[in-house]
Amino acid sequence: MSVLSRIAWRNVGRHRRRSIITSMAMGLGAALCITVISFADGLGVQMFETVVGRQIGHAQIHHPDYPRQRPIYETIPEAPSVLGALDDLPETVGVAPRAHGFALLAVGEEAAGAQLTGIDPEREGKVTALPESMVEGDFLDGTPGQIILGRGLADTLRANLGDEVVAVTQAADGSMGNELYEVKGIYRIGSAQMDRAGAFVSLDDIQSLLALDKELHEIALTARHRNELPALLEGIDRAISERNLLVRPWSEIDPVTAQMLEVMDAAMLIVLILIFSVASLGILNTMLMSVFERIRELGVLQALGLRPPKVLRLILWETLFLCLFAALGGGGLGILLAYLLETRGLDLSGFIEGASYAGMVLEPVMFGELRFDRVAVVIAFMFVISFIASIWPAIRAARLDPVAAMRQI
Amino acid sequence: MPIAEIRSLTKVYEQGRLSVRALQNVDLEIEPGEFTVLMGPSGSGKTTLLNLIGTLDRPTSGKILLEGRDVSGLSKSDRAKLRLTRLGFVFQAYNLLPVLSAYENAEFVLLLRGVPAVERRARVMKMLKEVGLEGMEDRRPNELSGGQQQRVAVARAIVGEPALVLADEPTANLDSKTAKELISTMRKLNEEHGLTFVFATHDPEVMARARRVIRLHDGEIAEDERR
Repeated sequence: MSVLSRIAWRNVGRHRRRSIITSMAMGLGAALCITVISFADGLGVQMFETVVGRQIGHAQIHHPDYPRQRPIYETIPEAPSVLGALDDLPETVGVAPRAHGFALLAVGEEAAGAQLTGIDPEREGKVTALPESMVEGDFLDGTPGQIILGRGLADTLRANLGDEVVAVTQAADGSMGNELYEVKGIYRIGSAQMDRAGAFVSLDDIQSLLALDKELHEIALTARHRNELPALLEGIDRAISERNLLVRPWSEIDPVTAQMLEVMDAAMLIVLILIFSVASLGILNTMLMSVFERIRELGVLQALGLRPPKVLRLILWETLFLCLFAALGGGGLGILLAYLLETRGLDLSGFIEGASYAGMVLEPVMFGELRFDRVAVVIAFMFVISFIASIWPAIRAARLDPVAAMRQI
Repeated sequence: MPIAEIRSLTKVYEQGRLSVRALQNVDLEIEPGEFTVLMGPSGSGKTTLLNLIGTLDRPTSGKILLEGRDVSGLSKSDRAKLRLTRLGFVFQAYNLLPVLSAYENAEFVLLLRGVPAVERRARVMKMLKEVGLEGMEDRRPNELSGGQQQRVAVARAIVGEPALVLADEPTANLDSKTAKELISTMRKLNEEHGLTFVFATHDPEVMARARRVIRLHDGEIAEDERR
């Protein structure tokens, strides 16, 4: 331990109560930031998983004219060969073909309009977490004549497992298509729209209902990791660049969610700045008090030959020790709270039951996401703000005139 | 070569619209091994002169040469470095660092100079023994009497073997017996190690032991008596 750090360490211990209060203020600020950020990250993960993980996938391919009004006859040309080319891509873990239509569904006396999606159950499970979103019954197993309903739609139709559902729609060839399905399961994916008015059948069933032959409206793909999306897009471009198809990442398909996630990151930064700006006043106050109380002592140090830059360093050492305590205490507490939030969640069922946010149904128990990179950023931010707050007192100490300082009582 | 040479030294303090002339055209030489006392009434300029020799303050005009080097125009940082390596200080109020033990206070200057640990320990222990503080190394200043604290301050001032030790009223806060003992210790160090001391004091006991007495009056040297 250098002589400066030793003196600084003991100075911190000299006014134990003040040092503890200051460290606690910084530490609680850090713990609060870590917890709030964990909560927001959890919300972000939930949003991402709901939108991307359970519906969109990382990227989608359509006929260029399909997305605007979703006409059922704008299908992907030569879909089987496109699917084959994409299946060979090393950048993807799953390729899911889909066809969409709007249908009137009826169970007994009850009827409701629904967005009907045809999927390949096995392939879909590799792209989205739809199979894990079942709240009753089972996911489609490929057997013809099965349907799964969104929780809200099932409630509207008063449908139970095993009930027969009549689907009526206009097919691509202009004829009226109708079919009878059996309710295989009920899902909840967290999307207000898909849970209230969505239903899934097998791809063969919807192609038959809509007279689509083997045609598809959509191909959804998932990269090995969220961060590898650019590579996936490059791979898709490589595989089907000669075809006139529209390839879009999830952020273009659902720009609202993408912007929400970006805004949340910016909001976190603002929260971080606000909390630490307040807490840094504590450091500023402590270091100023500490300098004013020791003007004579600092004058003696300079008289004995301690050069101004070292006086500055002495004050910064003291700040460092206060920050280390704050980082240990506050970081520890923040990690603990974020861990509890991640593993046990926060039960808000009394406040947000059934509420939705940006089209996403909020889970009654909100889970956090403990990310150590976020913890590191919070702690680093705390150190930076604390050092900024200490610079002024440190400069004041370094600029003292030893003779005048030693005259102070 | 004199340790300190002072040429036409003038120090004027500006206090609002008033100018106070603390020193006026002072010429002085301090030779190695001197045990010199600056004396005079309050306001005569003795502490100002001591501070200027110690590079704690800057002159308004004139020159100060320490070991032949003009120090009047040095930067704050360079002056601090010079004090660390060539000067020792003993203050009236001891001015020990309250968070450090007697040993650590005495060691402080050597630590700043980067003296190796083994040598540091040997020098500090020897010096504390010389000033009569053997066995009290671990005590903090608040566990020592005034006389003992001033002995630590003396040990701190001389442990770095400075060219010149400047002592400003070192006995002012001590009772006469303790003051006498302290001066005896410093005189012994002067005689045995050839250390050069310059005091600013009113204390007759210090004056009685001095080999040179410089009387200041209204910022000028009124008398310079060698014994």
